[in-house]
Amino acid sequence: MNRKEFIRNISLLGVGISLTPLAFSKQTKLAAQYNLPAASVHIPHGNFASSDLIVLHVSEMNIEVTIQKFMKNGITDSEEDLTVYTFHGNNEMLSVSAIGNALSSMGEIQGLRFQKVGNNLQLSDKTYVAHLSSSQNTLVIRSHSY
Amino acid sequence: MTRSIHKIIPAQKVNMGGIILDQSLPVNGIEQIDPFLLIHHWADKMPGGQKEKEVGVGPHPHRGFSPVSLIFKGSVNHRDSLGTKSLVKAGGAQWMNSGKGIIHSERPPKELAENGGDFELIQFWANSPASKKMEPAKYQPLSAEDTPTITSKDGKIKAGVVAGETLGTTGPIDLVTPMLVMRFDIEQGGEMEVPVPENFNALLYLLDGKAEINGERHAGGKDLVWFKNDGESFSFEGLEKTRAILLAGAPINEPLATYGPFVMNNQTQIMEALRDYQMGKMGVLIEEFDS
Repeated sequence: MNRKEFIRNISLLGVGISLTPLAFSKQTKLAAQYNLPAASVHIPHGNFASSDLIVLHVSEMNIEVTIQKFMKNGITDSEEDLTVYTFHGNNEMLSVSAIGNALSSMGEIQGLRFQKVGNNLQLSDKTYVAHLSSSQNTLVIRSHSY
Repeated sequence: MTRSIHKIIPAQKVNMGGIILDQSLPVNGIEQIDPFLLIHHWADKMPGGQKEKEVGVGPHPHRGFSPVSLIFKGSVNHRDSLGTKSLVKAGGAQWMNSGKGIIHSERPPKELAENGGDFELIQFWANSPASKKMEPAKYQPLSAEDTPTITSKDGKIKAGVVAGETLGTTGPIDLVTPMLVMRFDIEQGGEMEVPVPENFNALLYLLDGKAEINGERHAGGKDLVWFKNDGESFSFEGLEKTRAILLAGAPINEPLATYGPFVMNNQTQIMEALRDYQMGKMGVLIEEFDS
């Protein structure tokens, strides 16, 4: 999959998700940036889910991204709240949990590599790399080469 | 020896998804009083003119603990992913060990939603030890008629034993860990001494009224009396007509990770719970309504 196909195949469902203009950096090329939707649908006991669904088409598979937030005290926001980003693709699932900047992950999706880089989670295939920043609530996708 | 009072904690008003209720636990830096994690007192006057599906708490998952509801006014329709459909009326209780996962809903029934009326319950959460968190879920309803009752010597207090054993009476609930849960209807001037094992953490919550505890301190409606583990009983006298519950249990003493509707021992297990819920491993609950 080349860069143009990659960008063309990224599809978004939902409201309130913005795609910033393409930009360039020294190391990689910014392909797309998403402001992740807030987990705003209340499920009882301090559990909130995003009503919007992000669908990425990466490495010839659709990857759905869902977001859930769990309040530590069940009622009000706090720095200890847990946010879980779940990536579904190819009948496999990767879960990333974040408390502030502390990230941990579980599971895998074959064909994609996931690793923690500093405070970000990195998702990559041969050509592209996506960074999930829980603190900035963004998903940034860059290409490795020009 | 009588247990002395550690603290009297007033409940705080909280908004749980549009439902205003009184929360005694967690509160002000007290995350839990092991094994009790949460105490919610929900008292409402239903306005009527609503449909059942518009009221109450819709389907949501749980894992790792027992959410328990004691019903005081009105009734509660419980539905869950085990296929249970149960109506628990005032004076009754529902004890649900969520175990490895269950999805349930709790709603005032159709008649109450349509016609209006008083509705009151207390829901508390009792933690399960790691060794029991992944057991199959279990739902136990208990009616007022099936709740063993003790009457005080002066005849002014009726005490229902929901779970555990005291004064020669045993509650019918099958427990995950040792516990004593009681409900009290206290007339003015009624006195009672309640034995509680010294190793149990013990909490007395007053729904309303006023009582003198151990002949030393007064507690009022929506106060949580937290006893020290320095004796084998406590006593109270109703200073006015009072309703109260006792929550007492052996502490679990394990690491706690409680997020939203899941109570586990660490963050990884919380993620596993969410994954299992999303993958349908906690079952499915599709509510069916008459109208």
